[in-house]
Amino acid sequence: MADVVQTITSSTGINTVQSQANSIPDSVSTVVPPTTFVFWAGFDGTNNARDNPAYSGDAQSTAIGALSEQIEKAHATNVEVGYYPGVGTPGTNLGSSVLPTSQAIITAQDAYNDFAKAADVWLQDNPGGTVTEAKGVSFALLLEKLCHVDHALI
Amino acid sequence: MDNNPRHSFSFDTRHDSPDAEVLDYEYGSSRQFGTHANKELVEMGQDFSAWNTTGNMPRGEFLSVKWRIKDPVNPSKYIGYYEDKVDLRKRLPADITGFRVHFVIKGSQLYVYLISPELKNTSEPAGPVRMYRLHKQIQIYPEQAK
Repeated sequence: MADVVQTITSSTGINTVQSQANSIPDSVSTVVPPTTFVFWAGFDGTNNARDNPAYSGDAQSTAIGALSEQIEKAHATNVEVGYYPGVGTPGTNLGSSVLPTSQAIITAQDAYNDFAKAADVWLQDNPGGTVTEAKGVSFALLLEKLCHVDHALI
Repeated sequence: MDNNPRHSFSFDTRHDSPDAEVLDYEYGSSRQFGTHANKELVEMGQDFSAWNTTGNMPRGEFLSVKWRIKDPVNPSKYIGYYEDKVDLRKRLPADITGFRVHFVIKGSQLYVYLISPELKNTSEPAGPVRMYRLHKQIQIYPEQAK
């Protein structure tokens, strides 16, 4: 776990950090090529729910919320969004944040099913195109296994 | 009854209705992320082309959508602004687990489909929602004559 070197408490300091954070997406120069289809799977985790900051005790948006906002603004025709309230979010299996495997498998399968349908439609319109996926870290292995090992979609 | 059944909510104007721009949407009153438009973006005048949530969430009591239709001759102009609010309380099945609530816009009309987790029979024609064409699809709004 990283050490906390400084706690920012002043509104000026918070605004400076927030401004720097907001500039990060604009600094990205690599875009998804039009011949590539990306399925973006966003998994919120334990006590993270973008519109319910009180749940996590943090007034800032979750990373998933910030990323989805960027994608919504981009209006890319070759990027498909899937949002999956993951383990430990409100409404998921009781105790799933403690023993997450069963809930994680359900969620990864949901994401895979959506990915497969979206990729199928996109490939019909863009024959010969490339298909890939972007995903939250905690589900990466499960989704990778479904995509590459179980079904060889990619 | 499960208060947060695992089901899906989605729309995709890019595939279903390229002439429509969604300005705001809300599936139920839960305010759970993924069930409504980002209010900050709504206030900025941003439109939304697609969304897809799958997971545990309260079944929506209603679906509210605001949209506009692009002028086919001049796509930077709009020929109409519309909104509709559909009461879903008697339109959704008692157990919605595994189902998908998907809305489509055709001009001034909002259509709401219930996409079944079951695949349709191969002898049946494909449903109107292309992304889920292999699944059974039921139009729940507007009501169809029986």
